[in-house]
Amino acid sequence: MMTIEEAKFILQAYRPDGQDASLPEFREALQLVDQNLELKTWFEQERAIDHVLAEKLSAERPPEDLLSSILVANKVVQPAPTAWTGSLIKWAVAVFLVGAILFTAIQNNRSADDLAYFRSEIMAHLNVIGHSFDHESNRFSDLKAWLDTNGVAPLQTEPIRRLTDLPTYGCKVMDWNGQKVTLICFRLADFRSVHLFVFHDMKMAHPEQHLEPSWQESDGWTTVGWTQNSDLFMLAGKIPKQDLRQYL
Amino acid sequence: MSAAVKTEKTFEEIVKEFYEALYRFAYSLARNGDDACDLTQQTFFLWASKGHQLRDKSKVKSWLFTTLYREFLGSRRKQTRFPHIEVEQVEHVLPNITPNVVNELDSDTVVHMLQSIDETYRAPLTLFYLQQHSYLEIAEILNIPIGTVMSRLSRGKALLRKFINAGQQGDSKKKIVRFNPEALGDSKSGNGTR
Repeated sequence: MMTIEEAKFILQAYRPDGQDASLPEFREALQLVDQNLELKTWFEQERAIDHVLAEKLSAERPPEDLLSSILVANKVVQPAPTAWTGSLIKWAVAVFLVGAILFTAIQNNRSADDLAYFRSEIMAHLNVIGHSFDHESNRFSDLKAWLDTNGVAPLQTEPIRRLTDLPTYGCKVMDWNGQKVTLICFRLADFRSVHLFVFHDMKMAHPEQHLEPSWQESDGWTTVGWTQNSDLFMLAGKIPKQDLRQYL
Repeated sequence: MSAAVKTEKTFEEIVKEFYEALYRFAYSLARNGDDACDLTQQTFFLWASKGHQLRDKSKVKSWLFTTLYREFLGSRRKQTRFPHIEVEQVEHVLPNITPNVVNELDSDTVVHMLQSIDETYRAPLTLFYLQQHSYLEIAEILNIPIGTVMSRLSRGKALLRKFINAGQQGDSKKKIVRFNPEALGDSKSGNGTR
């Protein structure tokens, strides 16, 4: 059984606007308030004082230009890439190449042995591959706008609709054996990332054919490729297959 | 495109929703407007660069307040420590004041009184009066046990009301600027200066 003093102690953490009424931690103390006149008087007085104090504090206004300076700063100053971003981009390019090989394998029906061979070749040359984004932004909207103007073709968003809410690092348009490819890198939590490769206007043998997602997991990388409206999409990340699947 | 617009609005909406409360918290901690602005701005910069790591978007508010508090602690390490009052030294029986007495004070005076309290109590007390967080969330933001939050709220309220009580007796300015509740006369150690 709670004492009056215990109830007072607990009720001092009860916010004066009453939004804690549903918290079970206060239930017993509030019941005691209903039963004890002295406690009820004390509690009403406490809430009244706390209410006035809260009002006084909320009357303190920030400088008028604070809001605008925060919003403007966010537009002007993009967060600087951290040290790991550089290696991430390097990996992104590597994944692109792996993805391209996977694509080639799909197109040419190469064997798994061929794919493994090319993959190891790419990894061996990873350190000499240059890397940079053509356009950097943490918003997909910015990247899409840039790609629609400067890229190969307007980017289809329907096939990647589950990615468009993710923050981004940047994008790049690359040439792979005469084929233009768009790369977009997305940020995930815990410093993880996924990389989207779009092979535009594929000259497929059977363009009417819709390629269902084709998965591969190797060396910690998970990749999945699929086609839609003559574009081939390849998604890659160092994350489990079940995590990557949620973005399809 | 709709998803993109949504993303941009989300940042603005978050800023608009929380910047005032964050500023008030920062102002209470830093005790000057310029540092409060810096802390608030820095918090949103960190949100822009690291906010994507937050999986549970319902925790945005707690994330912002936690980040601001950590930024404050980080900046404070370079400065001289404020006088610290041991928990045991603070009497937490609430002085008998009325809502009318508090109501007669202007907002600046209340803010200054709150800023006069040691940070140990000031941080939870400010979060409590901002009414944005339950005591459970305050514990999470300040990274202290729940029982400690309750204890600090209780003692912090007692300190604040002692300042108000002292102000009511016409000697508020002199006593408040000492940042030391012991100077108000009921300290167990009896010495009001540090």
